[in-house]
Amino acid sequence: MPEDKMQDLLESLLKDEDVLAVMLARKNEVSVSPPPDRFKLRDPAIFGTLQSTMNDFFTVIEKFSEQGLDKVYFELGDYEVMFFLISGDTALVAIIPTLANKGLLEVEMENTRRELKKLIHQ
Amino acid sequence: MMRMEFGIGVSNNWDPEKAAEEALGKALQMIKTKPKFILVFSTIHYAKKPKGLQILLTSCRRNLEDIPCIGGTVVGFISPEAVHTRGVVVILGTGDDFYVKAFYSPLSRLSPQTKGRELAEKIRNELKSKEYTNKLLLLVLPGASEPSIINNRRANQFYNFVCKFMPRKIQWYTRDIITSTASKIFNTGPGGEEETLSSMQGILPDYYFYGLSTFDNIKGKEHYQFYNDNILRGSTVALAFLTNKKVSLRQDVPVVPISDKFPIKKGWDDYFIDQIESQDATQKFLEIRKWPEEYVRDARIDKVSKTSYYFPLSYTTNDRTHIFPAGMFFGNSFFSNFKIKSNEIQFCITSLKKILDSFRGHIKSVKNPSFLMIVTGFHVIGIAGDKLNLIKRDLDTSLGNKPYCVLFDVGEHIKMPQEDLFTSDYSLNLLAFTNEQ
Repeated sequence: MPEDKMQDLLESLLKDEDVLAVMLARKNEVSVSPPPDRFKLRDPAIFGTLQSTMNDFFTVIEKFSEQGLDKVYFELGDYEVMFFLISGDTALVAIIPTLANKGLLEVEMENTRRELKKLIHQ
Repeated sequence: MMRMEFGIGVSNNWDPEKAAEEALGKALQMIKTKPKFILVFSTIHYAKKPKGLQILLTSCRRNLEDIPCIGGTVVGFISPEAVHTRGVVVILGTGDDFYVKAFYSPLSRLSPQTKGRELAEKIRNELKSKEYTNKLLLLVLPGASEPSIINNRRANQFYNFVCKFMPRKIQWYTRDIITSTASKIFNTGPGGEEETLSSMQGILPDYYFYGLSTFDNIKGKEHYQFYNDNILRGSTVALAFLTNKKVSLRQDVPVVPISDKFPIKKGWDDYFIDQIESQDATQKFLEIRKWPEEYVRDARIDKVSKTSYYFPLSYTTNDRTHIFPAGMFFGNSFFSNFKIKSNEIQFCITSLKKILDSFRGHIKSVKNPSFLMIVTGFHVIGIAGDKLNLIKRDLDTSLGNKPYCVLFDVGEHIKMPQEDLFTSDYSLNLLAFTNEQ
């Protein structure tokens, strides 16, 4: 099942000490993520807020997708949220510490995004 | 006579045994005969599991235990298969027209000049009967590690607090004792790579040197060198590669100075800069860069590397410009991983465009390689992030399906026969093997 393989990919990403939480967010659908009790967030509420606002966020993303919107980053206190868009209504989302080395993580986020894209288009 | 052939395989499986099996399997499929040497480079992630690195290395050498092997931990790598900042890459070489032998010098960090000399004498003595046109040493050396006492936030805050009341000279004296002691007891601090290799070059003047310094995932805490089945720390490993075929080495440093020269006062063995233009080095650095103090308030490589590591510094000696980072801030001084051998420095910049142009220059310089390797600093990962795929695309387009590998480290070292060693950060050094004479 592609969803099992997606879980494996997300869990592999989560094993990195600087990836505190991760999900595959899909507009108007339940997101795919490892169990939240495996996340490393000191403030777990942040993940709940992200999940519940994703549909609103996708509304904004869709407006830019024709212009080639590829990634979005924003800082939230001690965290940074990385969105790697897979399509206008699907994104790989990771929460990392603000002071994590983003370059290192971007490489593996990109690899994961490419693998997820292959699974989604199967 | 069988031509030189190279195989390369990669894995980013978290399990070290599976990763090794996968990477080795792919590399073996690319060559027709048993390899004559193995290079293994991995990221530090396998060290998180007890004996993980040992399992990885042993598994990479399964059924090849009699084949010389060197390698070490790196920050990331690019291969024809993928770009990774987590995983392992195995490179195999085979063919008739070369001879290889692996050597090592344990704990070279602690007495680099003596250990370098001993290593070079051993290489010279064991290989003096081998008559080949080109003699190359592939070298893997220990990069700098953050001394644990400085890594400790409380100790660091205490030192910063006490500095406010200490006269400068007493601060520097105290700092020198702390770093000197920490370096010896904990096997941390600078890797001593330049001293090791400088001692070797006089004994091996007819050799090419091509080397890199190991590192971890930019935390500066632990990293390792591999020699056959051994995981080493603070040590130098070398693979002597002797051949009548052509070997190409090329160096570039895609960094430009953007300031005048500033006079400096150095400390602790020329690794620290204590003052710039007679002012506290940290404050003056911030003033010149126009940065707020919180960027460098804590002396932690992972925090500093987010900013200052991408804004290098340089000094010039004998018409050669060496680039180095403001790697770690400790009180009113900052520290570099290499000795600063001048009393003047300049501020510099680099950029992704310069780095891409440098890669392209290297690729154009080599015709029909059978294998190509480029070593460069980890700052490229920080600057490029997932745009490392642009570098991969250029390499794939130019080299077709030829094997290649780019390794990201914390220091690059290069020497041509009868010329002086050149050690620097932020450089891009190429090594290419061909089947031409």
